[in-house]
Amino acid sequence: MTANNETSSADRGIRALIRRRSVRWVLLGIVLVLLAAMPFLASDYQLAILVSIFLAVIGSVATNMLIGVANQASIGNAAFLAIGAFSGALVSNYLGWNPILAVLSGGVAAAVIGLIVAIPAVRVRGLYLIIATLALHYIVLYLLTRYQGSTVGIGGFTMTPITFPGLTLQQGWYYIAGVVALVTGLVMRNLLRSKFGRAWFSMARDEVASRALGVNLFGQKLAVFGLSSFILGIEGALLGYYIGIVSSDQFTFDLAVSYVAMVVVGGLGSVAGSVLGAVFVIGLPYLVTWLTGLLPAAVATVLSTKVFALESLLYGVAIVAFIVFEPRGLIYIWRRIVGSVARRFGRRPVESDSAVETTERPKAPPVKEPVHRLAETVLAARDLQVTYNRLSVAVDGINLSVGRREIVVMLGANGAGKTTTLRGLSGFLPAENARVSAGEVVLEGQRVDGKLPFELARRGMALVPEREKVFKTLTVTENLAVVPTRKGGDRSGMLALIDEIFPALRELRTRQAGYLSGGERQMLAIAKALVSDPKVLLVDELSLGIAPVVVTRLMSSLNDIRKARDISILLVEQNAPAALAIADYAYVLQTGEVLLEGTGAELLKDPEVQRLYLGGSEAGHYGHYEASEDAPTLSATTLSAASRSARRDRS
Amino acid sequence: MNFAEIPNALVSSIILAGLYVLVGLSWVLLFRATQIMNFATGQFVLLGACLYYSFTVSLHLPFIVSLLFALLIVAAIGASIHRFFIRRMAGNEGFFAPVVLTLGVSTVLSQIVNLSYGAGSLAIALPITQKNFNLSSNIAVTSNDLVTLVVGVVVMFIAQLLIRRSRWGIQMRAAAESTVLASQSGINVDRVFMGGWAGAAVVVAIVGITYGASTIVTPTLADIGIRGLAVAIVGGFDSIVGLIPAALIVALAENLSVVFFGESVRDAAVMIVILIVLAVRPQGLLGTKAVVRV
Repeated sequence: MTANNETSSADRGIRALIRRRSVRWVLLGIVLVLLAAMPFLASDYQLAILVSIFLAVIGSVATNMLIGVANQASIGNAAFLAIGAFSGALVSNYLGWNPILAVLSGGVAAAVIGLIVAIPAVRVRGLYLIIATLALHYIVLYLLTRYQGSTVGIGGFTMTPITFPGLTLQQGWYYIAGVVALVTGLVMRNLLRSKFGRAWFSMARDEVASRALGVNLFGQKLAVFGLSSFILGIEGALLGYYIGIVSSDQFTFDLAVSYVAMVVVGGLGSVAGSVLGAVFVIGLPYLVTWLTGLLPAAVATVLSTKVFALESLLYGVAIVAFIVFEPRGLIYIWRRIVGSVARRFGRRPVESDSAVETTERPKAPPVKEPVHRLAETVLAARDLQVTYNRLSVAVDGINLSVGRREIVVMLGANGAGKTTTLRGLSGFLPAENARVSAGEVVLEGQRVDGKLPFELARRGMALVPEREKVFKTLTVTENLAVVPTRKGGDRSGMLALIDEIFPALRELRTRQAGYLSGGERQMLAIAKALVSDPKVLLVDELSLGIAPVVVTRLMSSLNDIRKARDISILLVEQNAPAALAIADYAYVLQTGEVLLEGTGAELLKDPEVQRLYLGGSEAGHYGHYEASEDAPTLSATTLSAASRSARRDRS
Repeated sequence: MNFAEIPNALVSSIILAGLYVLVGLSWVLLFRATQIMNFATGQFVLLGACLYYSFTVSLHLPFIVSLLFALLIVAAIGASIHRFFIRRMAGNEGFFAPVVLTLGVSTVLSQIVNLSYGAGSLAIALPITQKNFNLSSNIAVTSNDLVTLVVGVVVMFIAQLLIRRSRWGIQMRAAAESTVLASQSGINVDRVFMGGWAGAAVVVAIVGITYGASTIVTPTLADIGIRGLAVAIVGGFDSIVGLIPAALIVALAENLSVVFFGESVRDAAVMIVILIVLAVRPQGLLGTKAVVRV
């Protein structure tokens, strides 16, 4: 943002200051000095909270490396913490090693187990990895409990306390946990910028593609599992020393979930997010305790018995809220705050969403009156624009209409936007990442763009899609049964009609649709669309992959249906001559816009259509398709040279 | 280790399987409908038992009314998880987000139960006269056990019938194959999914009531939820019929290893069964395909 408004000199001064790199280092230095001085400023209680947070940051970073960066969804964290803690306890209690070696041994032991787990994880992924690590958790904890019971009993191992000359226990631990957390964070930050980080990110996106790019999946998975369990093991051993006791009942499944929660709440794949998540999850109970302390004594006493449940409840609510409403986590919220502060002082925002949203193009000049056609309009698109993934515009400014009982054909080369137009007319699911971003769709006089596909289907719009057109795991009968009837539709009449037009389907009633031939599948798809007794039937690529004889039969079937019933049809077709022969009206699409339009007969004669789709004068070949007698054959209002040249001028 | 206990373990495994088969059904039902594994399944077991307690013991309502109310409320909670949370997620963030979501939901439900019922134990009963049937000198089966088995068989039968024959069942299978085509065909996919959540919740709430009646209702009742995951994995996550042998296998593995290694092995034994199946036959006994595999 440029400085176009009046700014005070103080503002400008601050801005200049912040832009200077050296100033940022000074600020960082001040923060570090404050952190380093904290043990002498804060109470033991406050220090204990900070130590817990620092320790959690270690595991949070490690978990984020595995889950957030490398996309290896594991909930075995608590097991690795336990392995680290036990190993530290054994090494210090039985071998008498000093604490540093004991903590390192915890890391090594956890890393070894982590590597063993990684070997099957190379083949297993997704939900199965979650389940496998869940199983690992319970098995490891069982074995440790068993071992603990046979050696030291239920109480667990007692750790020799670490003493700090000149410092209290909390002060000493503040520095230890702080330094280890800082080192862990720096290691991950640098790793993410190295070739390891890039390999993990690409592995997380698409394993097959990353393998093709030369990523050694086996090696990388070993590396990320080994490293993250090493760090978790270190944290486990430190925890053991800090608490003073190592016992298997400390390492519950809930503990494992809390680390996953830190990562999700904080922000997947981000070091700073891991820290924020740890602060949130560890700090929340203390915050609740503090808040209840502020309440009137009477209320606080009542609440005090429920405090633990309340804390856990809030924590659960936070997990749900973040995963549903802000899956990018606290770090994203933090960046937005920093971004807006930075904007205030003239720096570029860290991350901006606004660049993505600008799909609106300058409006096209008002379109001329729709071509006058005899039939009443059933379905119309006005200036239809469809956008995928929030930014790629697939079709733009489509105007078309389908009159009652008309057959309207849409022609166009691959990528012209025919399928997208049909999808835009028939609606998108939220998960499809596509939407009608401008213009409107009108069905029977009512605006319907933005409605869900099923709502449109129930209002009488039936789509036969190009690819997934029948339910392969359902039988023919079930495929028909699954479709609800349009409000006021005549199901039994349609079933009788379907029997009449597609007698072949009668023989296949109990067959699974996945075992039908291409032609049979197409018949079923059309029957499935018809059974709801639609007002408009949209068919995408009727003839794709079907023998010409069958195409002929399907085309004449459609013609029959339209006549027998009050149904309008919009047909997308590659086979132009066959389609135009039965079309009352037709549109030719090119690169997401309507290039030509006119009655079927007109377009059949149009030199440009002949050149593009009919390969010269072959049209006579398909003469046995008679243009339907009730087609509105008004004089060629649309294809006048004037309108065509106007169209070219616009593009 | 006491070999004399083996026959007893066998009999109690059969009865336990009557419970496990339904918990497994809950996982499979939801997974087939929505491709989501619900890690809050155990909490619905607990919730069913607690609500039943409220209606029968606290409010003195008749059995049928209490049962209906308890199941209705649980169904509503299940459906609202889809309606208010799952549906709001964009739907394209992969398999991990729903897992974390259900883990969060399980924490929330646990604590709600904790706050409203406390961490103590509640006693609930079915309206039947308690009788012991002695199969031999040291093996006895209670009338609760028999009810458990009958309920297991009946609910399985109804579920299978619903999925194969009912309109909702066909719509659920259609939506499971392709949500886009299902919606284009006029199916309200969200309502089908809400039905899946409601059904899955109701099935385990029934477990909570029968299981709670034969033991006692404490927060640990929820631990049975994870057994259902084991049953679903052993049976094959997309197979209803596979649940029956799977429930027997899991119950047997659990009870027999307890006989041999003591009570503390219970959880781990189930997990070992899971690992073995994942390693040897990831699609399970009667499943058609591995749920997720490279």
